[in-house]
Amino acid sequence: MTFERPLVLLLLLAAPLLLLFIRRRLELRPRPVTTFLIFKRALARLQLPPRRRFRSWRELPRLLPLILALTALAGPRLLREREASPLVLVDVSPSMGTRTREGTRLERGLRRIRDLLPEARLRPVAGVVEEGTPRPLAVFTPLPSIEERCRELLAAGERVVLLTDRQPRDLPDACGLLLVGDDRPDAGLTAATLDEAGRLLLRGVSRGETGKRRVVLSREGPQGSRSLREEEIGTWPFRLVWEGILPASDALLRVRLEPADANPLDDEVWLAPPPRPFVVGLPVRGLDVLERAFAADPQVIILRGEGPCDLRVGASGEGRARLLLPPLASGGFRTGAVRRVRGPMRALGALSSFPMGDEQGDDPVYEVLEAPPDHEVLLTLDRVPLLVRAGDVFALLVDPRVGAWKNRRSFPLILSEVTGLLGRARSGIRRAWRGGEAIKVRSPAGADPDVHLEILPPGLPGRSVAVDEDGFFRFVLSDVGPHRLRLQGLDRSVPGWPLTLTCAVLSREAVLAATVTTITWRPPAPSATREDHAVPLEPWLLLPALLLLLLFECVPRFQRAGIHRNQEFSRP
Amino acid sequence: MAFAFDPSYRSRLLALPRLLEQGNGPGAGLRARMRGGRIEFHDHRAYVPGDDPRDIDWSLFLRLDVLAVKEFRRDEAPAVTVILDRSGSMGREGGGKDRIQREVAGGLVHAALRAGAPVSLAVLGEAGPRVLARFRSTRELDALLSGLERLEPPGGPTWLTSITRLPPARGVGRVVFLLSDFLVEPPPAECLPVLARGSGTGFLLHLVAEEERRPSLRETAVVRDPETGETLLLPDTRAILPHYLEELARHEEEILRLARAHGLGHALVDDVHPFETTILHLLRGGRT
Repeated sequence: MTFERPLVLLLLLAAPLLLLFIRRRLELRPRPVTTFLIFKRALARLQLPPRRRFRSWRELPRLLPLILALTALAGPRLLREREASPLVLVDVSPSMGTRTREGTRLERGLRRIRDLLPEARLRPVAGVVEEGTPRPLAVFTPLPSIEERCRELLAAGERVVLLTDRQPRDLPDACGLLLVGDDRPDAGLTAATLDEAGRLLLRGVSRGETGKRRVVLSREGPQGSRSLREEEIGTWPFRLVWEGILPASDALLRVRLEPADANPLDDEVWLAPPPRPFVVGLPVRGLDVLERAFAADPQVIILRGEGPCDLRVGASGEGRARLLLPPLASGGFRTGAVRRVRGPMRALGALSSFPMGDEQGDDPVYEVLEAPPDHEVLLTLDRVPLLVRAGDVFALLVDPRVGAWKNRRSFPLILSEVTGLLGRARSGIRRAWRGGEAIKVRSPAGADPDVHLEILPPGLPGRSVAVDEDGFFRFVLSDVGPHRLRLQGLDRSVPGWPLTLTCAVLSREAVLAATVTTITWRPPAPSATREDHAVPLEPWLLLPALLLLLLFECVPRFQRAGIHRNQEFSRP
Repeated sequence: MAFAFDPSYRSRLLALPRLLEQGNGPGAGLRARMRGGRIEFHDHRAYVPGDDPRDIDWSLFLRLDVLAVKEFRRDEAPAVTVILDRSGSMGREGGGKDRIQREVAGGLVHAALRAGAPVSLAVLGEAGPRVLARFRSTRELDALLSGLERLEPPGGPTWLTSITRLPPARGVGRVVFLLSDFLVEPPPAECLPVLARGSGTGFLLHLVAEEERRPSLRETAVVRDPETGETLLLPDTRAILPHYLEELARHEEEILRLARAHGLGHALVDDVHPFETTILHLLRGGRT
């Protein structure tokens, strides 16, 4: 124990003398007493013993308040040795600003470390804010500066706790670590395959605490949904095989996990029957351009010897001519003179989403003399119809053998659209994006890292690519609704049975609500250095001094001043 | 600071005569406790069994054959003198002893005035009782209160022996109330008969304050006589206190014995009970 002002203790020597002097002065001051005569008589009767210096040992405790007060003025300090307090290194890189409803990672980490340090019997005395290097969200970048700083501080004998959101690679074992991160518990289907034997194979994984889910298989048709199988999933990952699943040829099978979690992207799988092949009958020679264009479509089967052009859907014999070439006089269409047209090409109607860019045309176009009343113009050249449609009959108003359009890049694509439109109108099955097409996937660099799902236009209006934050799924957008997207997985499509996913666009609020904070805590190793801690003792001295003063001085005064006067007169 | 009565004292004073007459009948009260004055015929009233046969007017019975009794009344009340001992032993001005002395004195004066007696208010002095004021009517209540409030603070010796210079009672008689603590050495045995001389009578009102019964002193103290300035060292007040209380009781007994020996009324007055209680006990004949 030490004293900040030890000289004050010298007053303790003089205190008893001072107190005795004051008390003696007080006691011996003549006090007027009205019954002096009575005291005089009483004293005369009494034989008193010799007077003592201290009249009673009970007088001694009266010195205690003064002694305690003087000791408190001397500033007593109780020295205790304890372990050195840790330094808290705070990673303030941009990712620490990732916000959830509980605040940013930095705020959550600081709140947590304030609780964890006292639990570990540690006292945070300093927080060192380390300017971290800004780093992209999706790219792992170590924090060399902080790790080096940790090593330097450890070498200097300090205790260090690092607060970060990224697992450091070379952090010394002696350094404490509080790793704060975000996690979204998620369970999803990773595989859904139905083979020709009617066996449905399902696989699923989960991340975080997802609890029990149900996997439901239902058949979706024009008459509505009908549940086929369901089973509760309690352990993850799971592998499930259901046998005897033989859906009708046109039926859609839907496998979903219930209830859906915050990421419904992987909670639902649609199993669609394969699109039926298109049979194109062409003459032996003369339509090489069309042959090459249709040959680019893997779903098209080309037959020779019939024609001039017989585009059918389904097995041979089911179809009839649906692509008319000029000059034509069937299907309600009749063409007239040829007129050379030059100008921009534009897609309309069902092809309106087809990108034409600034493509120009210069072709001899047949004039339409007759057309069914409900015909639809799909393609124009300088506002002159180039491709028209009446139901499932398409009429090309330019001769592919003589026109310049056949040499353009969009020619085979438009022909493939014709087959797509024809197949969609026939079976109602959404055509999947073909794997041979070039799909541009752009990473969401610079995007808000909180947004779980980014929809980025790769340059094709109406056809976009969606990637999530981790790049786990990649989808091709094939249909856009007001609230839902129908996507097809590219990576996990099964030949013949493409894996089709339907997902909701995740809102920012839904992602935030599903996000939980993950904390990994490792306390720092005990430090060899210890520090002295001075505990002030003034309160423990002044309070008893005050209480004793009240006990010795004020209480007797109140007792002596007992109220004996009865001013109130009670009437007899 | 000058002495001032409690604001309720005036109303209590005005209510005092009614308290005195409650439960005593119209003929009781202060007048009945006073000797002196002359009795004269007042009226006749019909005899009722229990009346003193000596009050029957036999001449009226013989002349008119009517049995009636005569009623009398005092035609003149005796003079009342209230003497205050204002020596230093009465304590500090406004203290318990001083306050109760003024309150009791005011009560006595007012009760006497309501009984029709002229009252003199005097203090003991070296040359004998010194009259401060004379009152003849209750309408002089304000003057009475003012006079009591303007009394000089207690001080000086106890001039109890000077009461022998009080002139003897004459005429209709005199009632003397002496308010003192009688703390003189030796006890005033020879001067008290003066109060009962002639047609007069006297009352000794012995003032003992509560703080005198329970003195609060440190274990070692020096006490001073406020009258003479003499000091006394009390080395062990705890040991002295039992003897002090015994001497105090003995002093009270001595004053009571003296009062009885000279046919004087006596009452112990303290500052614990209200002054009304003291006056009620005194005028109803009780001895406290």
